[in-house]
Amino acid sequence: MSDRDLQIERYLQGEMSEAEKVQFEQLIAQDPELGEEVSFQLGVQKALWNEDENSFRSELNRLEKDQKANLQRRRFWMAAASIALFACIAGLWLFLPKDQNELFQAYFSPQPNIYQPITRSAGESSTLNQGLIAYEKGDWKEALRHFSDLDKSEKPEFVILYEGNCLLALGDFSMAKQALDPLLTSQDGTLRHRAGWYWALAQLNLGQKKEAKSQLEQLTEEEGPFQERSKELIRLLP
Amino acid sequence: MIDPKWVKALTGDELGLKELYSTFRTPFLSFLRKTGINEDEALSIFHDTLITLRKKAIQGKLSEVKHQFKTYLFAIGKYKAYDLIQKEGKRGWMSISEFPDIEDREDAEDKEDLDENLNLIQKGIRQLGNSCQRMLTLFYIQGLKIKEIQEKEGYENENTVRAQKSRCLKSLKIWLEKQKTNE
Repeated sequence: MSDRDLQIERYLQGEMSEAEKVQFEQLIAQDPELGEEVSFQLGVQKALWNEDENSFRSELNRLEKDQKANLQRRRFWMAAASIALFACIAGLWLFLPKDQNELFQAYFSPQPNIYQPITRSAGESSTLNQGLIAYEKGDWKEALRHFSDLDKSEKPEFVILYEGNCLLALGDFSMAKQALDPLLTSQDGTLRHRAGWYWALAQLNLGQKKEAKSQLEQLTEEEGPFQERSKELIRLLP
Repeated sequence: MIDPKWVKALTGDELGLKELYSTFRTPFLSFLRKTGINEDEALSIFHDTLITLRKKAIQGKLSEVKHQFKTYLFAIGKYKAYDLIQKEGKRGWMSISEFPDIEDREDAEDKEDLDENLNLIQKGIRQLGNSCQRMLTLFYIQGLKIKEIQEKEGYENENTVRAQKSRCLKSLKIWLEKQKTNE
């Protein structure tokens, strides 16, 4: 091993003092052969680092691929588990007997005001109209107040249906049932059919399952908006 | 202080590297996304940062760092993201102050430029036998002294190590010469 090689070794490994380093670099500048050797060895060092970086980068890419595959697998199983859970819940909900209040919540939606929709031309000040406006807004108490102010003689039958709906919405099932009772014998078939549905819901909430079921069975035999829903509800009765 | 297990992970412990990757990948990417860079760029910075840290770990400099590993990793990543944003000059830098600055700013910089000659040397190194590749790695990458290599690899004496290293460099030169002549 020549003295020159030893100096290169010390230079590359950072063992030289500042003064030695400056002196050696001057030598490099003067001696092309020495300069070439140092440059070659620095190139080897750099190439080795590049080689190391390339293989490490490949390793990182492989880890990333595994990571993504794991994430996808996890997402797939989470989605599958969610679907299975949803299917179980839906299945249970569909096929198991339900709590009566739960059934009421699922099946009750207030009768829309189809009998006398509010129009601009209607006299806004009339008690009936004020009741209907409140009813359409879902202000059940206000609607009931106006409806009850109407004289029995001037109260259209459909208002009784709305009164029953207001009471159902307010959770007063006993009063709702009582209010709807007269409509079960109405001459107006559609009105009777609708009232029968809400009457059955009120009975259901009052724990009168037998009466509710009997009413619903009657509705299944009539052509009307609640025929299909009645069949469904009968199946779900506890 | 850097936990030695992360230094080990970066210098050849495969299982450790796997643990390091899965532990820090998601938090690192989320952290960088706050600066406004996209997922692919954040991932590329994550890999570049680990490469920088591997280099330091091999050189023995990582063990001297006074910060926690996560702090150091994120700080380097932050600078790399900053450089990328500056380079592209199209998005604003959102300041992230949760992590302290690191002293050695140049850690975040990539200076490597592959020229043709370097590429050829790299190919030449691949042609060498395993013992030569190891010898050169120990000396030029890990920066081990000749005495240390002698002890680590069980050589008879320092001169044997120097002779072996010299033979490896000579083989490499011959191979390079041949390539140049063939051109």
